[in-house]
Amino acid sequence: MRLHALTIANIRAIEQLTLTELPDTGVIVISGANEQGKSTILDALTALQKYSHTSRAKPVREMARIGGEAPEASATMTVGPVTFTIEKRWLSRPRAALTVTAPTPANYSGGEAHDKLQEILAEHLDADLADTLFLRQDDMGKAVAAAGIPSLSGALAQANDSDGGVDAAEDDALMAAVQKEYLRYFTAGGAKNANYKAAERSEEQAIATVKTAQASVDELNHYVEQVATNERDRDRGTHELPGAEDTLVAARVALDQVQELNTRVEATAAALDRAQRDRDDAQRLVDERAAQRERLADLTAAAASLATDVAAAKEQAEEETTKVEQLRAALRQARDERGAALEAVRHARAVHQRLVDADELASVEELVATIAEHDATVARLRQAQPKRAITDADVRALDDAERELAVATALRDASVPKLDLSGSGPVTVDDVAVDVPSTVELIDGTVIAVGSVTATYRSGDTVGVEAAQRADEAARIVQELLADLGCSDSEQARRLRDDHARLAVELKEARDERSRVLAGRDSDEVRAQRDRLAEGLREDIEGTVGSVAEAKADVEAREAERDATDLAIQRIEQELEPWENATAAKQYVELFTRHDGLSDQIKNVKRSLDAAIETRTDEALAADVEAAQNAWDKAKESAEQAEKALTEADPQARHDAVDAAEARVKSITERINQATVTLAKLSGYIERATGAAEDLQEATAEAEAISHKLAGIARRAEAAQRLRDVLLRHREVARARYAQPFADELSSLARSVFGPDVQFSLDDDLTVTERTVGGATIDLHNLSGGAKEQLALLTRFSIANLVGNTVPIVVDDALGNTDEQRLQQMGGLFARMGRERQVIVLTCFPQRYDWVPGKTEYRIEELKRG
Amino acid sequence: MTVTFVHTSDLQIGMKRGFLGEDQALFDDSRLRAVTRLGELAAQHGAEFIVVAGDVFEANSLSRQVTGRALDVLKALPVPVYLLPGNHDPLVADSIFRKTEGLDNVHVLDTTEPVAVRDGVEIVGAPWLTKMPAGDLVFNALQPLEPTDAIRIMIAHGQVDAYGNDAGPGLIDLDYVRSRLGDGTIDYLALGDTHSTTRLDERVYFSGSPETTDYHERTGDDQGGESDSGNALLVSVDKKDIEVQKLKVGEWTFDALHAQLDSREDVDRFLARLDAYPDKARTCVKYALTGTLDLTSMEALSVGLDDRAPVFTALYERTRLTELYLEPGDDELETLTLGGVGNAALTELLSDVDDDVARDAVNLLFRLSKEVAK
Repeated sequence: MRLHALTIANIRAIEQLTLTELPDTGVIVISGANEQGKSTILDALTALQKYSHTSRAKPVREMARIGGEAPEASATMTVGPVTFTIEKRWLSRPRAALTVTAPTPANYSGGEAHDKLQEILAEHLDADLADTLFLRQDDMGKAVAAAGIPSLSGALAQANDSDGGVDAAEDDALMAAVQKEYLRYFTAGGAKNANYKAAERSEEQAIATVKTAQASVDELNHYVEQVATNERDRDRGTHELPGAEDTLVAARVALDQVQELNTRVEATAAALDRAQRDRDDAQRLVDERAAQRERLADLTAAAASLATDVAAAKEQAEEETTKVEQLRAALRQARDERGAALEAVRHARAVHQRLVDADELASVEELVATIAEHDATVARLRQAQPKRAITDADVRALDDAERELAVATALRDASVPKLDLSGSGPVTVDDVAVDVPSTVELIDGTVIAVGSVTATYRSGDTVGVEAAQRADEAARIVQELLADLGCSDSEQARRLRDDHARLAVELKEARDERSRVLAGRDSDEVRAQRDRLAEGLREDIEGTVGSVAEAKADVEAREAERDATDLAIQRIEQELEPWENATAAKQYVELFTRHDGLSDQIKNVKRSLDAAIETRTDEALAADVEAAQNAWDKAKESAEQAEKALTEADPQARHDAVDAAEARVKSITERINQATVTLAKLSGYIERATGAAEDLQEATAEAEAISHKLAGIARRAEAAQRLRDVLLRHREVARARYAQPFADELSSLARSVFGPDVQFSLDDDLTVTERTVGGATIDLHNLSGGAKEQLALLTRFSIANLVGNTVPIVVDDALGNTDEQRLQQMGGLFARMGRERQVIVLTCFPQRYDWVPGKTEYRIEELKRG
Repeated sequence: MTVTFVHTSDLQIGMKRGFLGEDQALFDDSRLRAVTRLGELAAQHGAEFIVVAGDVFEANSLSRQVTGRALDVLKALPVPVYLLPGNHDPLVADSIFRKTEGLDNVHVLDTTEPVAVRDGVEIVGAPWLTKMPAGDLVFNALQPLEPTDAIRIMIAHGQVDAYGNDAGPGLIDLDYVRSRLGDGTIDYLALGDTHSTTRLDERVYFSGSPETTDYHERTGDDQGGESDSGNALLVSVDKKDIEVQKLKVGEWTFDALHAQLDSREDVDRFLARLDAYPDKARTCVKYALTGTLDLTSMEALSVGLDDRAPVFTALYERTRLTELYLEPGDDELETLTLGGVGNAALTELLSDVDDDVARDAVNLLFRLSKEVAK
């Protein structure tokens, strides 16, 4: 394709633009500032080819200028063998016209024009190639997949064919089928897929189930073995038990025999005891009889000896009795005499006392009379004492008061007015009749009535009054003192004072005299003494004559007689005492009694001995002793034999034997019971495990089936994997071979920019993935912006070179990141590419392309001007 | 006086086989039907009783469903049946034979004491009373016995040492058995354990299992595995004569096939051989194939097997023993619509003949390329 001319009207920033007579080859640089419509040129070119004039697609609507005319464009170009001009107007009054000038001229308009254009383009233009070589700014830095471009594929295939290579894409359908088969077992990433894993898991589970079932069977087998063991234990026990029981019975019998021996030992021992006692009894009887005899002899001897003593004692006792009786009679007489003497003493004393008492009574009575006299005197004097004794002080006070009175009266008398009454007739002064004549002392208010006349005295001054008052006061005091003393005047008072003093002295003297007479005694006591004495003397006593002194002498005479009798008695008692203590009589009685007792004893012993002999003679007793000894000897022998037999029987061993036999029976029984219980338990376990073997068989069968199935899956999976691997490997080889010219071309172009050793890695889509320079490999994405845009251009250039001269290379600004040196190198390449085709460059910076020789330059402003 | 009875063994009731899949139930049912069939044959041939020489059950601890049904079937037999505990169902604690009390015509031979079947006929068993018996059970049972005028049938389970086995515990001393057959202590030894019908002596037989339990290896003349199962023996014996007749009982066929396939004709013959099995619903076949086939033959084989697999209870390849190579003819390769990459891959895979995976990959390539071409 070659673009010959292009006009644009009313599209975005461009109101009008005309580009004509474009060269068929070479670099065409269209430059202009931003917003001048460089990209609009490309958009218009695209719209002409792609959008029907009637289209209202978004890119079409976006072409319209705001408020401007309908967008229009026309282009003249050669595509393949066809050269034509296409004109289109969109949106408002749309129209289209296609004018074909070669090879066969023809004109089309409207829809036909668009359709015919599409036909031409479809037939002669590789749209993918055109798109690829149409680099917009956005495409810079992006890798391009060269593989999808038909004309490139054709070119590479042609090269490949001529080289004898195979078409890598030829088996794509088979590859897809293999991949599909592969994906039945694997994921895209190459791991086993869910189904495959599920099958493996199923197998694992089945194996686990088998294992579990096997464990159950093993457990069951273990129980079964235990049953056998326990049955064996039980049966052996059951078999052994009767023998053990027999042994036990035998052991018990043996033990019972020991018991008999034991009983016998006890019995013989008891018999021995009895024999011993019998023997002792017999011997004792013999011994007792001998003792009895001995005692009789002793008693008889003693009695004889005692009889002599008794006779001597009797004589002595009789002598003693006589003496004692004599003395006792004398003593009785002496005592009688003494009684009489005592009575005489008593009587004499009584008489003497009475005489003494009578004397005392007379003196006491005299005293009592004296006291009575004194008492009377005292009483009389006491009676005579005044109630108010007038003292010297009283008299002095009265004298003082009378002196005051006398003074006051004198004063008053001197000052008080007086009324001398004369005449007759009744006169009252202050209602008191007064004799007339008289003189009336007047005081203020004194009322004197004389007849019907009443005169009231009104004193004019106070002098007379005060004197009167003092006199009255003094008179009152005198009167009070006199009243107190009970006297009518002071004289009397003085008299009384003297009387009173005398009476007091008399009383004191009377009292003192009384006290002296009593001499400290109490008068009552004196009187009581008198009463006592009087009472004592009331009874008369015979012989009471004479004086006290005579009586006293009589008393002394009688006491001397009494003392004489006492002495006589004392003497007799002294004499009697030894006789009283003499024991001859007592001894005699004792000896006699003892002798009497011995006689009785002798009689008793003898009787007893006789009776015993009568019962059992001495010979018989001796025989008894001998017999008892024999019996004892026999019992002793029996006991020893029994003891020996018992010892020989070894009771402990027989006990042990029974214990052992019992233990064995017990053990066996327990073993049987234990086994029986265990068997019951095991029976339960076994019952519960019913079906275990079948479960194992089923699990095994299931596992076998699942393993079989898994083996099938694995086998198919492996086949698919192997086939895929082999196919992929071969496709890779084919592809590498197919892509080789592209890689070579790219390297060839790039060498001038990146250096002679540059290499590229391409993927299946022939997309550049890595660049290697000087051994350093860099992923495309990690290349610098400049390198990326250079590589983008180089890739397109390579494709264009391989495809040949069919489509122009259009570059909408580029190399913005490229330094001066690279610009120079790229400029050379641009020029090389322009040798055989149109290379249209749209740019803001035309200087970037200064290094491109032979270029054709347009300024967009100029194009707009037409 | 002659006595006639049915000798069988190894019923293996409760046996599970992984390759049976959902047909296990059918197999279970057949094992029970075999018992019923034994009863019918006994009645038909006038047998007085049936002896089962061990392994009535596959194992002791089976589900109540299985044992219950088995005991029902045994109970329903028209003649008395004598069951001997074998190595699979020894008379230990979990033995099913502990549950057979009250079944009138079912007798468990739980001791070595002779049992009188009727006047002049006795059975003596050598039961397995433990899982691992010590010594020769038959010898132990025979030793205390004296020669007798009665016809005495002995029932035992196990291998014999005269059979090329190493002498060891549990093996039966066949020479001793012969001596006791000779002195008239016993008149027939009914053995179990080997699942194929086998004659050891004029009067000593393995009856074989009445219903198949395992594959019969069929490799030319080498008839290994369970070569003759599915039978019972009808035995008529007296002190002088004996007649043993093999009766077909089983319904199932387990065959392990080996075939050399080198041409389309071989493939067709093999497929025809499969088609010839009469009762495919009770037939399991596993095959090991060897040889080299071209593309067409291989495809014919593959399709043929795929078509037949669902019909059989089980039809599957023994991968380990299969060595079948694909060698496309030149004309075949041309007809393949493979591109350059596909061709290169095929060539590489075909060169790797010893690799099973590569062979499978080739087959897959063919299948997929055909699908793509369609």
